Amino acid sequence: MVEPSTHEVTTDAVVELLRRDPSTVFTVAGPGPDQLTLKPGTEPFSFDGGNLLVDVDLGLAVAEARERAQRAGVWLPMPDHPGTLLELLASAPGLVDAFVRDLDGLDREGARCASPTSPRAAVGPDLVGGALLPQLWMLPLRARVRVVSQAHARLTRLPMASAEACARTVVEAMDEGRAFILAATRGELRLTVGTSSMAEPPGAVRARQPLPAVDVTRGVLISGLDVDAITRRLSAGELLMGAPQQGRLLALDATPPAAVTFGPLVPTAVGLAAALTHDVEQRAVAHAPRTAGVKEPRHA
Amino acid sequence: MAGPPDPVSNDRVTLGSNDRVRESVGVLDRRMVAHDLWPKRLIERREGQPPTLPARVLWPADADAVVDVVQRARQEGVALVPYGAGSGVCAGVAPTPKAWVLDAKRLDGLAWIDASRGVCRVGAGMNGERLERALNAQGFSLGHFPSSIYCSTVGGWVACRSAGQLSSRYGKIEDLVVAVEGVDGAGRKLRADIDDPATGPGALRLLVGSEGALCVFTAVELRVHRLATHRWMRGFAWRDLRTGLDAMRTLLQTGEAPSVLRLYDPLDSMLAGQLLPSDEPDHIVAGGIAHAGLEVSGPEEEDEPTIFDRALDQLERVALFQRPTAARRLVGELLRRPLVANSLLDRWLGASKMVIGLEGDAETLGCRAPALRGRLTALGGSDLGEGPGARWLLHRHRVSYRMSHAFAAGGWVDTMEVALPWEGVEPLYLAVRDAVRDVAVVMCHFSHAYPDGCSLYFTFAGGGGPGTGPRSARARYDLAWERALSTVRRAGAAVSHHHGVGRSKVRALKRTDAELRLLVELKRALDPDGLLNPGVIGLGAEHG
Repeated sequence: MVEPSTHEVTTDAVVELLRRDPSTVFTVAGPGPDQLTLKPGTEPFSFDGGNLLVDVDLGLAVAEARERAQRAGVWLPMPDHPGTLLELLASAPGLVDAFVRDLDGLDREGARCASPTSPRAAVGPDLVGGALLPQLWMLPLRARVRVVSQAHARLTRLPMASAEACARTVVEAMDEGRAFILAATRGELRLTVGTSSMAEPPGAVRARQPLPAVDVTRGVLISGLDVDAITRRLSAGELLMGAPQQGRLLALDATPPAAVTFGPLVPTAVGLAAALTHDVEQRAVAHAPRTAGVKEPRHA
Repeated sequence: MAGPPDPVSNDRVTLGSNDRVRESVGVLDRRMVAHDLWPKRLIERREGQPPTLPARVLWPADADAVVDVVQRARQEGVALVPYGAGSGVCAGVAPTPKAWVLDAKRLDGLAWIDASRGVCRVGAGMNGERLERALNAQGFSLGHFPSSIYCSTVGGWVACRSAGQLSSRYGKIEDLVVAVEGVDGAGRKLRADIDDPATGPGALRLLVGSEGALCVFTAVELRVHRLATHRWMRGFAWRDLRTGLDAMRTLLQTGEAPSVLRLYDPLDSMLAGQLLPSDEPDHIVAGGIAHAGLEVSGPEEEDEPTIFDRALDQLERVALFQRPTAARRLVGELLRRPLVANSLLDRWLGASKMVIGLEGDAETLGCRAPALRGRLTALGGSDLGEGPGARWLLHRHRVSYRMSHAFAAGGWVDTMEVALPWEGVEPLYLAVRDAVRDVAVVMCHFSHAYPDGCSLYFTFAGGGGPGTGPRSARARYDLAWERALSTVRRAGAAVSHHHGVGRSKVRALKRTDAELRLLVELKRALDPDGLLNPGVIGLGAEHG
């Protein structure tokens, strides 16, 4: 068996690697040849207290990033992961969708690209999308991640009698839309909420961390708030992580992730077009409700 | 005896035997889709400059018909411009004489609401107000209320990354979209799902906001919310803008997510009036903001005082003017001498007004409302009671319809919406006012607020003569925008928060070579012939 080759490089020096090997398809996460392992460069972490953002080098280990955030007095909304932030975000791109404001990175020729450094923008296609594809168009190197100030947040943990009870509470919290971070496993729900007038539900206790100590290696976004589907995921042992303020809910687990690659742009673009245009009707049917029209409201 | 034939219907031709694509070369039909509401076009219309008409207009009935239209356009080698309701303000619709316009309005209808998932599917050509009413009838709301809701389509929202007035609670349109379907420039149907492992959420991010350059949207799937049962609205005055902005930031960074949160600059605050303190108790009203908004604030209601009327009201109070023609001439003169107007306003004005609103059940609001009121007071706000909020709710969809009065009076009005992190908000506001003060009267409100920044929504009002000379309305309009966008670029702000780029802001975009390469390859992959809305967002036909 041929061992995959590994390219270890700091985020400050990766541009040289890309320019030296313009046709190589690097594997950024998951199994595959030509593994690209990033290491942090200079200034790997800084905290912007005025906007509650951390500017973080994606070559940083997830554990170290969380620790640095905690020392800075904030909670970083990233679950436990054995590798770097890049590996985590590449395997669970929904975390970017939910918690990352903007990214800096490089294209395949080693030239810089970045998304607007504003809370929201309407300046054409969002190029962050290129960093969220299974075949990356952009290699993200730094991210501005939305964080929660420990001084202005309460961590609440609510034991749950069943996966279904937890699922219903997840849906309520997502609908309510005020919590910063939501984390749910089969037996508990954790909410990170601001120190506003949000009352704690009965039975809630204080938590020490916004997320349970559960290692994850991949994640997918959930497109709707279906109690039955969420119950099944919780019963299967998945970690549900949500950003209620952004309306995003992810399911994370520890199964081996699929490969995420970074290769030449043109074949990547062709591949994206093919993925978008295949089986359109079947995919539409798969997302449609089983019965036409309006089903009974989930809450009478 | 039959009267003369209708020239429009004579020119309208139906292709095929099943009415799947209606088509017209009639002058009136082509004129209706010749451009959007870009104010510079409105100045041209006022001065009698005829619009550039497209070659024909097509109305496909469904996605298959859109495929037919696109493939036919490819065969004929003509550009194809998608058109919703034409309420864009950035020249996103600007067909050339040979181009075809694909009007999406027949791609209509609310296909389904999946209450168990909280998702609906809607045709991209569906009118926004009609969608919201259809959802309300089933106990849901999209929570998306752009000013243009009565004259915009869901596909247009998704194409431009629109924002509604309740975005602090419900997010922008990109936060609500879970799937889009469309037809690309090669005539292929496509679909992007937020949960598709084959494309991740990235594909959706690349398509949303593409302003008709990558595909024609045919259907959209969106998150919906249960209608709130009650609401609370309130107004607060702040001694200055900075104090009000600090209060907004504090609220959002400590977890308060109001449905409505808007701060007006001193001029906008003065024109809206109602800055008198009030100690009236909290009033929890039945009905959420989402539901109440359409019921009370349609554009067809009785005349609401225009910005000129309110300006005259204020002039009456401070200068004891009667309301003769002379007073109206004074307002017109001030628009033609914006430096004088802006300087006078700077001397007179000070306080900023905030409108804030919450939704929820009565019991929750009964706790949240007094606590929030206490917090805002502790932060330095002066409680104005529920009046400002109630007034905003009543009139919020009418403001845009009054801009036509300014054009009719010989002036012009436009808006610029930008966004940036908190520390840059007040400096940018002051810098834009300074940059534009001798060209247009400037006012601004601050909304679409997030823990990490907010949007500034400027209104520019100016005058000028006919023609294209240096003192003309067109020249002054261009100068105002050139200076404003330069200032925004220097500040590092996004040049658009929710109106999009169209063609009017392309020159202000800062794209690196890498970013342009990505966009060009995306365009080539989905529109190999470059026929979809060439020129919009800076992607011309040569990029196909």
